[in-house]
Amino acid sequence: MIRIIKEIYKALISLPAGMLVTLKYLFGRTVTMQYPEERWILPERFRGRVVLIRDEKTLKHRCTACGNCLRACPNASLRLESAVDQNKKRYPVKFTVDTALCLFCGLCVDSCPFNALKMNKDYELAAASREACVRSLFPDGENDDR
Amino acid sequence: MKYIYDIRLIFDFVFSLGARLWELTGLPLWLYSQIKIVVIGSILLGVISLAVMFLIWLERRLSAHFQSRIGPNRVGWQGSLQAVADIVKLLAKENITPANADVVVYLLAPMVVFAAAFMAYIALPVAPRLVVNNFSLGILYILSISSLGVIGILMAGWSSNNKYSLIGGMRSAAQMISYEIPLVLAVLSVIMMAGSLNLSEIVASQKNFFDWHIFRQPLAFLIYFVAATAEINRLPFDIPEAESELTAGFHTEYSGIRFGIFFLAEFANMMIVASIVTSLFLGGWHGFGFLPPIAWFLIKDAFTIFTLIWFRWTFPRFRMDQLMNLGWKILTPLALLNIFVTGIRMFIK
Amino acid sequence: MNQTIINTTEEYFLNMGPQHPSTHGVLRLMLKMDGEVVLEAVPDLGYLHRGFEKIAESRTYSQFLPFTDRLDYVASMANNQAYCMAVEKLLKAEVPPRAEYIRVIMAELNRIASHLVWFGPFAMDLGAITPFLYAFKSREMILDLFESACGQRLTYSYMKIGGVRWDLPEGFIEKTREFCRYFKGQLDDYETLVGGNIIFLERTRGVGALSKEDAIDYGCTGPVLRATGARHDKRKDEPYSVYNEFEFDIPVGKTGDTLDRYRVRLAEMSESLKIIEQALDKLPQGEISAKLPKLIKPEPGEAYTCIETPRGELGFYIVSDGTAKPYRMKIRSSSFSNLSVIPLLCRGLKVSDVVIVLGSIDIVLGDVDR
Repeated sequence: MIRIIKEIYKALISLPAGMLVTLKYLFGRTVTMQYPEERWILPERFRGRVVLIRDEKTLKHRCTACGNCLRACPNASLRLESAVDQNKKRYPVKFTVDTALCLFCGLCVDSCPFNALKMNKDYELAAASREACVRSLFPDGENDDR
Repeated sequence: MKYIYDIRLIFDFVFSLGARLWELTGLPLWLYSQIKIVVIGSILLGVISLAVMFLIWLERRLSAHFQSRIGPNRVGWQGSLQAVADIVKLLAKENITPANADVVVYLLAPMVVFAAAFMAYIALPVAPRLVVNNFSLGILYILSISSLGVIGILMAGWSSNNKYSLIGGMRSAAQMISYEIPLVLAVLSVIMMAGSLNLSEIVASQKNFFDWHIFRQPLAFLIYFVAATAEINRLPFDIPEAESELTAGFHTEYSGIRFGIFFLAEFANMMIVASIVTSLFLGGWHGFGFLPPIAWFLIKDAFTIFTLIWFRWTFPRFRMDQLMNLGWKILTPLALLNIFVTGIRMFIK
Repeated sequence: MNQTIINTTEEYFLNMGPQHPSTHGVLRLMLKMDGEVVLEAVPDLGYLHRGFEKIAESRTYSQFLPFTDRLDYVASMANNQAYCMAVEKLLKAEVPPRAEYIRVIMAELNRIASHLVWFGPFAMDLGAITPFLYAFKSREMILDLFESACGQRLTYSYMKIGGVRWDLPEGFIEKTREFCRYFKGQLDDYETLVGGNIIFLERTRGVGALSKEDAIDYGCTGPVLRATGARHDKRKDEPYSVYNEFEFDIPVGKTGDTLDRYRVRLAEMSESLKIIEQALDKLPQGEISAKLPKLIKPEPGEAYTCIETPRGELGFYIVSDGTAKPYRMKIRSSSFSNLSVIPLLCRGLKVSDVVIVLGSIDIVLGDVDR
C-alpha cells in the first residue's frame, strides 16, 4: 500500500518537476542567431569554396597547372584549362570548381605540391542553375590575366 | 470613473440613445433589435478574433522562449503582427479539396468547429453584468455548445478521404466521450456549492478570496482542468492531431483559410476553457481592488492560458487507450466521489 | 439481418512514409491495420540508395574517405574511423598514439552528438517538442568543436588513412572540458524533463520489447542489443584503437523495451563523457599521422574491421587486388540490421507505438540504404 502511494506521489511530482525545467529555460538566455544581420565567427580551418591563394605583394598565384588536384578530387568537380607562357611555364587559364559536385573534403588542397590552393570562408553557395554552380578558382572570379 | 468600472453602462447608454433616435425615424422597432444583435455579434467576433490573434502570437513567443529561441520578431513590434501576416497568407493560398472527398461535409466542417467555438462566448460574463445574454442555464449552455465542436472534427476527418484524417476524427470522438463525463461531473460539484447554473451567480458566490472554488473544490478543479485540456485537444492530449503519428490528424487535407479557421477555433476554444476555469474556480472578476473587475478577469484568464501553453511545451503525449483509461478509470470515479463528498458536506451543514 | 455482417470490421492498408514526419528520413512503412492496431509492418527501403559500395570500386583508397561521411551522416567520425582502420589493416600500417587518442576523442564526442540527434526527435515522436531544441543546443556545441578541428559541421573527413589530417586546434582541449562540465548538467535536465516524466514512462515501458535471442538472431547491435541485456560492445570485447586504456562501463538494459533503449543511450552519453575526459588527460605528444606513400596501393588481400558506432557495429570489408582502387567493398551497417526487427516488434502495436518503436531503434536512412 505504502509502495503504491509512493509510486503515485512520484508520478504526480514528475509533472511539475518537468515544468520547472522548462520554466528555467523560459527565463534563460536565448541562443538563436538572427542570421542575415548576425554572422558566425568561422574557425580558421573552415572548408568553404576552394580558391587559389594569391600572393599579397605580387598579386600572383603559385599554381603551375600540374593537375594533381584534379586527380585527387573524388568527384571530378574541378576543371582546368592551361597554357604555356613565354618562359615555357604552364599556367592555368580557366580553373573552375563545380560546387554542385564538390564534396568540400579538401583533398585537392592536401594534394597541391605548391600550396597554391586553399578553402575560403564562402558558404552561401546556393545558385539558381547548374551553370551558376560552376565557379572560378581565381580569387576575384576573373580569369588569369598573365 | 464609474463607467470604467462598469462597461455595461456604456453599452446600455449607447443602445438606449440609439433606440430614441430610431423612434424619430419611425421605422419598426423589431428592425432595430435585429441591428442591435448584428452589432453586438460583430463586436464580440472582433474582440475574440483580436484576442485569438494575440494568443497565437503569445503562444509562439512563449514556446520559443521555453526552447531558448526568440520566436517571431520581424513583423511589427516584436513580431506582434505575425498572426495578421499569417492570416493574410492563408487567405491568399489555394483552398484544395481532395479528390473523392465528401465535398459538402468537407466544406461544412471548419464552419461547424468555428461556430461552436464562438457561440459559447455568448453566455460568458467577463465583468458584472457584462455578458451578451445572461442565460439562467449559462454553464450548461457553454458545456453543450463547446462539445459540438467535436462533430465538426469528426466531419473533417470523415470527409477528407484520408486514412490519417479518419483516424484523427475517430480518436476525437472517442476522446470526447471519455472526457465529457468527468468534465461535467466536476462542474456539477461546483454547481452544487454555488446553487446556481447561472455563471454570473456562480462568480458572485465567490466574493471572498477563500470562497474561490479552487480552495473549496480542489479536486474538481484538477479534474476539470485535465478534462478541459483534453477537450480542446492540447498536449498532452492532442491525440486527434498528433502530428508525429497522423501528420496533422483531422485537418491534414485542409489548406488555406479553411485550415486557418480550424486554427482560430482551436485558440478560441482554449480561451473559452480558460474563462470557464476563471469563472468557476478562480473567482471570476473578483480581485483585490485597485483594478476594474474586467482586468482581474483577464489577468486570471491570461494566467490559465499561460499554464495551458506551459503544459503543451513540457509534456509528451498520451496514447489513445491510456487517455481513455485515465478518463474512465480515474477521473470519472474521482469526480463521482467528489460529488458524493460534497453532497455529504452540504447535507451535514 | 445476418449478425456476422454487422459486426465485421475491415482491415486496411496504411502507407506511412516516405514522406512522414516520424519515419526519420525516407523510410516507407507499409502497415496492415485493424482500427488503430497494426497487424503487420513491412519496411520498404531504398529511397536513399546511392550505391557507395560500387562507387568505392572506382575511387582510390583516399578518395573514398569523403564518401564515408555520407553513410551515417550524423556519426561521420565513426565511419571515417572504421574505413581508415580497414585500409590500415590492409596496409599493416601503425597509427601513432596521438592520432589514436584524437580519433577516440572525436568518435566519442560524435557518439554524444549522434545520441542527441536521436534523443530530440524521439521525444518529438512522443509529442514533446521542447527536448528536441535542448538536445540540438548541446549538439551545436559539439559541432562547433568539430568545425574548429576540421572545418565542417557534418561531413568531417577528419581522419585519414594512417592518422588524422590536422592536429587539434588551439583551445580545443579547454573547450571540450568546458563542454563536458556543461553537458553533465544538461543530462540531469533531460532526465527530469523526459526520463522521469510519468507520461513518458507509461508510453515507453513494455512497448516494443525485444528478447535477447531475437536480437541476436536478427543481427542487432549497439544500444538495441544492449538494451536486451546482452553485454556486447566492440570497445570492450575486442578493444580497437586505444579503448583498452580507458575505464568505462557498458550500460545494459533488462527487458529490451523502448524505455530500456532510451536508458541505455542516455547512460552511454555519460560513459562517453568519462572516456573523453580520460583521453584528454592522457593525450600524448607526437606525430599525428603515419608515414605512408601518397598513392596507397595495398598488397592483394582482404581485410574486415568493425567498430562500435553510436548505432552498433559498422564493418568495412575490403578486397584489394594490388591496384590503387579497391576490388570490392562491403559495408555492414548497423542501422540496416537493426531495422530488420521492425516487423517483429510492431506486430500488434498501436500506430502511436509504431512511431516510438521506430524512433527508439534509431535508424539513419543514409546508413540503411548506403
